[in-house]
Amino acid sequence: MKLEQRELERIVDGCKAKNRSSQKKIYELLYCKMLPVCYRYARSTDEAKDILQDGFIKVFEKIEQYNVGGSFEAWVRRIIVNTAIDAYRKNKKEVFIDDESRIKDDTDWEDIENESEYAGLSINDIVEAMQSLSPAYQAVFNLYVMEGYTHQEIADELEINIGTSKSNLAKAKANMKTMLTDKLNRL
Amino acid sequence: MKNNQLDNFESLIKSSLEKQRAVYDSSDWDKLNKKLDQVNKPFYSSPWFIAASVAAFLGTVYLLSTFNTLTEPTPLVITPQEYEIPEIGEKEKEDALAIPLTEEETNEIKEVFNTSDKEILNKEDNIKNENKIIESETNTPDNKEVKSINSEDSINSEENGFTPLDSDNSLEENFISEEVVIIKKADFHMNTTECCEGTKIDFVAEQQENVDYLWSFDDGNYSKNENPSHLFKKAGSYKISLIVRSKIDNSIMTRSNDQLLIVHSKPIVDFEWEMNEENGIPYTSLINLTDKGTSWNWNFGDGNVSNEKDPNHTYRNKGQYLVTLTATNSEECTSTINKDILINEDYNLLAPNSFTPNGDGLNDYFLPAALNRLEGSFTMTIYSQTEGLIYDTKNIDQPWDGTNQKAGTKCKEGSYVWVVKLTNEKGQSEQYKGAILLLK
Repeated sequence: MKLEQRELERIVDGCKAKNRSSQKKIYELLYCKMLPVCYRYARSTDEAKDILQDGFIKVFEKIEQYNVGGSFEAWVRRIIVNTAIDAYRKNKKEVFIDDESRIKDDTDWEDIENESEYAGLSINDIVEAMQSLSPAYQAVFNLYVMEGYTHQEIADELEINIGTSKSNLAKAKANMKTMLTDKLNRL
Repeated sequence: MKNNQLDNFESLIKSSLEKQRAVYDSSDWDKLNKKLDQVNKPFYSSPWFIAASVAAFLGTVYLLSTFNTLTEPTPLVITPQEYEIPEIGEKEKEDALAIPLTEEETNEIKEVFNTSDKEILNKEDNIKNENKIIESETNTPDNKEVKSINSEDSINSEENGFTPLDSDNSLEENFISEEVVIIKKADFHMNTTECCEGTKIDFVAEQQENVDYLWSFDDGNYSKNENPSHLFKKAGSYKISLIVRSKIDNSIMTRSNDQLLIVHSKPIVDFEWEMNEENGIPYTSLINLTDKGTSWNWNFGDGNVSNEKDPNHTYRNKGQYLVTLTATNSEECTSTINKDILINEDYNLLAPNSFTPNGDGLNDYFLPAALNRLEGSFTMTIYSQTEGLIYDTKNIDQPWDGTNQKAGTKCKEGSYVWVVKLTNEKGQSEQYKGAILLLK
């Protein structure tokens, strides 16, 4: 979002005044980046768009709290992610698996982990693999890898313990690797 | 928010996913815009309203894929009316290769989208509704005109595609004036309105371009041909329906025959036979077992025919005969059956092969024995190979005595030909002939 800072401030001010055309401007600006974020927490387009919509409603409600100077995009993204986590919690029926003994050391994987290993894959392949993860794995993986949450933060957000967060991350990665390797082999 | 120490795999995923961009869909803003109205006016934000708007949101055009990415520019999110490109900075413009689409391209994709969406929709509907369409179709001479859509109207197919028109009301609801008229008529012709079981009827739809046809013959059979032929196997009344669907906008139009097609039953034809003999004269009795027949046509397979219900027939020569009975019922429907009858003996008026006109009182006269037993008139003539006609008689009391009637002389030993012409009990004339050996 390379917008003149002054221009951005003007739009944000408009949003604070509940100006609909300013809200539209913000929405348009961030749509193409924020919808993918939602998608990583969702299992369908509809679900992702619901999250996005609810997220933007919160953005407009809370826009007073935004401090000019900080990254506006990061601020919006944080709200969107929180909305996604809320949605996840609401739908959560699945129990996080915290049986750490079942997780093998993933050092085996480290050897083959370099970018060229997955060079044939497209982003769509990765997104697909992400979407086929269970919601619990998806949430942990996203928060840790994409959003940079620590395991402690993830544990707090998702109301699980740190061990579960760690094991779910490892399992999510292992599942994704399997899926991506399969995709590669089919290329 | 700190960044975690990511391993290679995690970094790879992260860097890939961070590049994802979605194509802007302005209809999403429209929905958000509406929702914001509700948020701002809490009095109106009844659960029902929200539920409705959420439903509307979820029920919108299905977006096949979600993301437009850098590596795979597959723009799948298309906005029908106003395609807007969000303002983006220079750097991102370079990155987001997939976003900028010309208006032309957008329209093109839109078109493809609409078509494929509808096709999918219709495929499903076809299966689901095929029977329904037929059942729900009503047509009598009275509402004939309502069914026929004139050129100012067409059916809105956007939502229902290939849906049944339940009543005149629903039909009218389906009319919208904005749409271009594609189908003008669903008229058809058939070559008859009445027939017998097992008849093939030809149907002809009024020809028009860019339409699909679906015929229902009301007997559980359908055809997608423009001009089908259909065999009606069972008697009954059939309402023939033709549904015409535009290939362009999927609008449909349907029409049924005003007058039901009447298929009449046929007689169930059968017969048996018995070999009989009366006064030494053999005959075959044909026993008609036909159900619901009113008139008959027998062919005995030897060139003779009869219209009797249960005829008797005498075969002249032994052999196998294909006997055909055609029965007709009161609806003028006919059925035919063929059976082979085996005849073991020749019949030639029970005439002997030879006679001895020597005055010894034994075999002095020649006359086919059957002539003594038959009623009615006859003529018997005797021919000689050398002299031609030598004797004739019409009286059983004047059998041939071996003389040449014209010359008044006794005939020599040898072979002579006899010919009998008679009128049988049915009034038909018959002719028999044979050879007779005159011995002394």
